[in-house]
Amino acid sequence: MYRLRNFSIIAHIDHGKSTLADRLLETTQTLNQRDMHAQVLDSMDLEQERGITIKLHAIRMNYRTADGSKYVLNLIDTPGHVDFTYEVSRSLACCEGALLIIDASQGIEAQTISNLYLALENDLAIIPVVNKIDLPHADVEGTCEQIIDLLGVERDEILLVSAKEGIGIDAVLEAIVSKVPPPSGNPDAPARAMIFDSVFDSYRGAVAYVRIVDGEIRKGDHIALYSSNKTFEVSELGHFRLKKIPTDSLKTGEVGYIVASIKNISDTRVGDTIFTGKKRDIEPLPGFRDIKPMVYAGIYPASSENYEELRAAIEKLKLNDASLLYEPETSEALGFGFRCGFLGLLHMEIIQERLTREHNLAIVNTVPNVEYRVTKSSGDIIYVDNPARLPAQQEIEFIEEPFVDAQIITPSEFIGNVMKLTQERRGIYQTTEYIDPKRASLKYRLPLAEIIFDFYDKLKSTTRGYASLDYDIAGFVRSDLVKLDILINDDPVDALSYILHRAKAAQWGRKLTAKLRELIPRQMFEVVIQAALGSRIICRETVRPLRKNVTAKCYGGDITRKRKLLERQKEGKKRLKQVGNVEIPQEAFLAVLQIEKD
Amino acid sequence: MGFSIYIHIPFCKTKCSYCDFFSITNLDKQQTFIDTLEKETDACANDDRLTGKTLNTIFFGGGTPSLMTPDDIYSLMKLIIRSFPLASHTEISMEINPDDLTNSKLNGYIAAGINRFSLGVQSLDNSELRILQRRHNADSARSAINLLRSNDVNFSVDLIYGIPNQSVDSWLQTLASVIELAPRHISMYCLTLEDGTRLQQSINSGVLSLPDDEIVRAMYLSAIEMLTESGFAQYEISNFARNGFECRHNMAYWTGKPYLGLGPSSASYIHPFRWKNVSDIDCYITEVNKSGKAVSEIDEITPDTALREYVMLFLRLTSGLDLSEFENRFGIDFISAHREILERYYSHGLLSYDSDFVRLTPEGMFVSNEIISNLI
Ligand SMILES: Nc1nc2c(ncn2[C@@H]2O[C@H](COP(=O)(O)OP(=O)(O)OP(=O)(O)O)[C@@H](O)[C@H]2O)c(=O)[nH]1
Ligand code: SF4
Ligand SMILES: [Mg+2]
Repeated sequence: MYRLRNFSIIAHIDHGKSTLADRLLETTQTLNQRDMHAQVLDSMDLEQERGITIKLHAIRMNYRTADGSKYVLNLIDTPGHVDFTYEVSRSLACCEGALLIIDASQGIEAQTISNLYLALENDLAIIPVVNKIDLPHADVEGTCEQIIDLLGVERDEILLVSAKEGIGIDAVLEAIVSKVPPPSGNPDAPARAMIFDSVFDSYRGAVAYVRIVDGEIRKGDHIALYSSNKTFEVSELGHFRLKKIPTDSLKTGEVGYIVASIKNISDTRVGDTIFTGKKRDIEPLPGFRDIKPMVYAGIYPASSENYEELRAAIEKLKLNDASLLYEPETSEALGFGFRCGFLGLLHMEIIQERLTREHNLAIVNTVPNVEYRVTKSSGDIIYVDNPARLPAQQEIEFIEEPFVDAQIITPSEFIGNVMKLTQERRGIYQTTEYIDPKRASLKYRLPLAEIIFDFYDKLKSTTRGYASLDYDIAGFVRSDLVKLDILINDDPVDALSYILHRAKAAQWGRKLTAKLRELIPRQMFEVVIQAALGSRIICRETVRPLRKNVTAKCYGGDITRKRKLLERQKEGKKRLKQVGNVEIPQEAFLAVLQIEKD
Repeated sequence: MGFSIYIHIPFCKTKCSYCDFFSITNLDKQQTFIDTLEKETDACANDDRLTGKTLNTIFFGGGTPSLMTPDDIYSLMKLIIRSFPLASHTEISMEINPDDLTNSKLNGYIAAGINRFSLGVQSLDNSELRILQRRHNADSARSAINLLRSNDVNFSVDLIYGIPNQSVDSWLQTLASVIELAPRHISMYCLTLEDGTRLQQSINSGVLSLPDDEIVRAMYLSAIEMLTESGFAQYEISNFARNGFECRHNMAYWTGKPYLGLGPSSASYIHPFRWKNVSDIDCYITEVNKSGKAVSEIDEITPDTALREYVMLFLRLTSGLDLSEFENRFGIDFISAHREILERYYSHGLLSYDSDFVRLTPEGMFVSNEIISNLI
């Protein structure tokens, strides 16, 4: 017989979760040396390349304690990025304990706190771990002070570790065994399991990653999903090693996977409850909610012939990513494409990158935006996730936009800078608390639209890299918003429309048209770029016509050289999207993002 | 059908600042080169695609062909004539640099068979010639022209416009002076910045700057006007001639006629192949001595490529693209295939078309790369 411990690793981005996971896998000999490489659980190419965890990872380890007792430890490594907070919260719900990693060279940061709160909400035992003690500029004692303040723990409860150098790893394993309580739950009740992740397998369908809360699920059992009422027969279940290892059953407290010919990944929703028996006898597990995208953007094929390929590629990504939403849309400027909803900008970038890299598609992306709630004069309420679809001004009673509650942790010397930045972003100040004498946590209410692009970068640069940010959706707030339209040679280009606060419209219009003037290459005719609010033109730029583009010389009969020159020029036009008479380069549709960077 | 020969003489006393033609300034290898060139010419005589074909035009280009002695030219001509019969009025052109020309040399070339000279004047403004790093000055250019005139020989003048610091006025002054000197053919090339040239370096480092596109365009359009008023008809983007004095050799390039290139970096075309010789003197010498050839790239012209070449070449000519010939050749109705673009360009005065021809206007010619790249 063995005893069971389920735990997560949580931290601010880059504090060393995945590296610590590597050491735990090594020490417990879950992996042999041959399979080992850095951040081994980050199995996607993109994760390895960027050095970040995008998808959470679960793995089961066998551990024999110093005194010889046998344990099974289920580890869930979580992504640190704020885009994935919901998934992290659900994996925490599957555990009884969490390793809270704090980078000794950084101290407590915003996601340290938000993840800690998530863990506390789920009643987890917290094991504080100070990592990267090997770094020459590590401030181990200062970091411990902060932790003591934050958690009210004793100094000797804090573990000191270097995940990279393998220092202090045994103590971590011993602490997991001694501090994390064994799973509770009623083994004799009808089965209840929490889905914390799911993946799609082309042979087996959607595979649910679960934690069994009560009862037991066996091969051949009929299971049902609480939110959809759909039932399936379990064809395989098992544990996570580096691969999936089938077993006959998953018992109370265990973490594993379930295969049940579930065709659609949207049937295995993260946070949903899997159960056996009658629904009326079942209490669903708490915390489940629909994943709502935070940002939306249009994705179009660069050339319209590739529409079907794009559809197939997005469908395929969606198979493995329930949080990606998409629906077909048409744009006058860009033709047929999709409006997609993402958890955040990182999520959006990942999807774009996978479309271009894994599916080899040239795509045009429109500027991401948030979702607006519009109350029409008629009293109807509609949600608008595409600025081009905003009703005409006279039909609108008022518009609301999503706000977030943001927490910014910064060294106190930068408080002034942070205040200035948040003010520019229409932030509403709430409170300041000191984490220690030198570091403060500022709370703001901010429009989501103001922070999705570059707020984080700006925050970092205004605090010399020290501040960190975390946020949570707070709800819709009424704002004085307007739609800025861009007209090119008098025709509005729907894909360039942008919703923003009235006070910022004029300045934005100027910057945006100036940027477009830079990006749009000279054409045969003058190109006039205008920004308009309703029917009022607020600024205008022109791209002067192309006046000289000729191969004058004869090159002694070297016709091939001339031809290749022209073919290259023709090839270059593929990057351009023909909108009316004007050729617009793909990057112009993201011009807004570039302005913010400038 | 006959064909043409181009001979590349890859030597220059000094390198001009803007030039990326293949030429070297070390003249020691001239003799070996001439021997090799004769070998290459001989070897081509055995090419059965050419045997028995008459030669319509010959062109000595470079580099600086006028570094060759009349004897060199004469022996080369003999070799060529031994292998290929000349047409009744074979045009035999030679590029010459103003400061190489003496009366006796000129007479020697004429005796060797050259009947058309193309003089690299480029500009009659000394400060512009210095920027171009030409060897000659305005005076030597004038005396070279006078020499050609006094020998009553057909000649053309090459000019360059769009030179750093050049104004529209100074350009038109050069042009007017040249017209006064009564050549029968004028080529005017817009200065092109080529990779790896000294001029490009000067521009990149900010020492010099090119005139604005708008100014260069004004130079082009007003030159066309001046030339037309003076009785020169434009027949190609950069070429003008009095009636009957068009360069037949260059016309052969633009109308898809076969030609053979000799010498390093020269280009050849015998359908369906285009090929190019190596651009390296040593490599050229070794290869020709080994195999009689020194080819570096061969392109097979697919029907697709042929179509693109056709559009590209014929739209350079003021006579334009012959629609029925195009349709006969490629089975495509050019107008309906591109109607929307053609109409747009037409409405902006960039081209004209009727049921027989599509032609670029002067304004269109100056943006012809953009237009053609949308039509191929
Ligand atoms: N010097 C030192 N570097 C470490 C240590 N642990 C991790 N790192 C480095 O810190 C960086 C981030 O490590 P990860 O393990 O990817 O961090 P993470 O918390 O999983 O990051 P996300 O999943 O993106 O949130 C990597 O470059 C690691 O090599 C340590 O103990 N010492
Ligand atoms: S003379 Fe002609 S080939 Fe020689 S460097 Fe000058 S431009 Fe080039
Ligand atoms: Mg990680």
